[in-house]
Amino acid sequence: MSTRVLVALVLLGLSSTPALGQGAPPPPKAAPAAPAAPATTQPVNDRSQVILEMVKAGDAAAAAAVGSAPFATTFGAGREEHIVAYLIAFHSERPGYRALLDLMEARVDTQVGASSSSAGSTSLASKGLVPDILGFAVEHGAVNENISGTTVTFRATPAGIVSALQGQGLLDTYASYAANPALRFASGFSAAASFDTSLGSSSGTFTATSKQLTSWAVRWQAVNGRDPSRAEYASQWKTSAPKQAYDDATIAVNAKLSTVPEFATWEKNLAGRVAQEVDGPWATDKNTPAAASKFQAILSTEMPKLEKIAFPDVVTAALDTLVSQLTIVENSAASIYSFIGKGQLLTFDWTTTRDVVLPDLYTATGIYETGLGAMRNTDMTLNVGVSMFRHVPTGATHAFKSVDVTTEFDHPLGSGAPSATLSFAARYSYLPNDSVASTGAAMTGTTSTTASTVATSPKGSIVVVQFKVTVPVKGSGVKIPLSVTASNRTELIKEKDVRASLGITFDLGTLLTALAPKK
Amino acid sequence: MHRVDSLTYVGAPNEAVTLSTRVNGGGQITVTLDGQPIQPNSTFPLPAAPGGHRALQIGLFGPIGASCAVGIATVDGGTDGDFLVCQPHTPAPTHNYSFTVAAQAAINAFRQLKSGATAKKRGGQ
Repeated sequence: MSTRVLVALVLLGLSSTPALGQGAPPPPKAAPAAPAAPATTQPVNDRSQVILEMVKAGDAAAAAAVGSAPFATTFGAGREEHIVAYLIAFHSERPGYRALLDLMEARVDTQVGASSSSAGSTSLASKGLVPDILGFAVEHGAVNENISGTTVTFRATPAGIVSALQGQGLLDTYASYAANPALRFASGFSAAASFDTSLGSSSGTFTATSKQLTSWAVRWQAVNGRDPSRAEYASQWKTSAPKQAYDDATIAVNAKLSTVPEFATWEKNLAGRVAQEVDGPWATDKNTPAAASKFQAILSTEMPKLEKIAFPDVVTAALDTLVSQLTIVENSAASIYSFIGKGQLLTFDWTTTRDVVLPDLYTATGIYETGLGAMRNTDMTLNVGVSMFRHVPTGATHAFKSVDVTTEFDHPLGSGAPSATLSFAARYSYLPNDSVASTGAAMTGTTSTTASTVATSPKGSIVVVQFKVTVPVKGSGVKIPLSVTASNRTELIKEKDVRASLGITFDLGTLLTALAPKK
Repeated sequence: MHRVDSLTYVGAPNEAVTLSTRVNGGGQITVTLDGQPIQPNSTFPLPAAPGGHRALQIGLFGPIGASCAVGIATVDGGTDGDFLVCQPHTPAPTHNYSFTVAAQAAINAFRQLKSGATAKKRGGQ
């Protein structure tokens, strides 16, 4: 076999948020600062989200059995953080406020895309990450006829789906993971299904019928070193805790707020209503959902009244200082999340690949990922897998197909964000017997082109290496990968000569959080 | 010791204050009394002289969902509870507690006043 070198130029659209480990809150990566705009033109989502967080905090306080008035622990003298957050959201037109709010809300997750063996994939190695809610990926594959067209992949965690059906956003789901070990364990399991939209009676249209189903998979995450609540990260949270300047700024805001009579009257009224209508009944019936519902209704009425209060300049100045300090805190948290996001992952995956002309192909894969170096800047991925057909296919002598070992290293070029990524990947496959492989010939309509879709794959070893540079387009969320692939045989190279792909990837988890109307 | 407002207490000279904390979700707390670090679960006395004051601060930092349940005792015969939780818009909640010392006579009067108000409230229900 002569060695062939193939070049692939791939345009791959990716969502703009970074990937993180399953079950772990994602890094609050800095989003581009939005242009300043009057508060009145900003969506009310920020303020609604603060109200929702107050309700969640009260709910959690009730669950933690901190006393007879759990919902009152979310505001009041000495603990005005939610009130302050609301005021920051209301005054988002002030310098630095919008950027801080964007930091706070940027904790979203992305990990979607077909597995490495799918037709539209551009990677040699599979990643062990799993989307937290529901990953919906559409990758339009090659223009070359030997590379199949469009692959749609769904992957979801059952726990995440339940959370979504319960109306929880992504952030709520993360909080649930942190608070509930059983849910965290359940979130380690996921399932995926891939559909080829070029198949079936409505070629080019996604119908999710069995004819378009090209693979399904189940995955279990055995080790998740990307859970920020793990004890191994305690020292990082400890050493990065807010400094004295932040504490001083918090105290200053509390003190300045207390000097505003109108605010004191407003808060006293709020405390009275919460005591009488929420905590009072709760102390008797312990009906937390009812109390939370009532609390939310009260906040929805009372919090907007804050916007009518004319706070003196000293309060605004104290808020400005606190916003600066909070931004430092958020950036510290972002650094920790970034480090945690490169922690160890060990995942086991079982995939069944369906093919028109071959028996189902079962593949069991162990996937290990970790960050290398003190700062974990280099991503390392190792896949070890075995494949076997459901039964001996025509043209082969054994059902067992191959053993595959794949590794990939990704290293950022430069320290700025976004920065290009240099990747090296290699795959070694050993076929103990002569086998067969699908060449992935295109199928049109209901008529499958069976001719030339199966090629003999002689026994022996196959080595594939790939170098790739992925260049992000600043501010667009688009990344452009440029890769060079070489192999001693061609069975494992998806590209034929030169190809161009255009893909769009969605993460409904992100969309769910970003677009769902905030309560 | 009596609660006069949110996180604001008045107590007798040399009265002991018991602080208890319970952290969950990977959060880390910093506890200071008058600016000096103290143990998260500890007991400290109020000043001996009426008019004296002590400031307790508890800060929580950690992943979203990290929480800290706080108990201050003895307040009005029981424990006054508080709760901190890390959330997207409140990533590092910091609560400030204020303890002021009043003369024993004033404390007694305040106790009677609160008892009367409580009894009146119950009677009115």
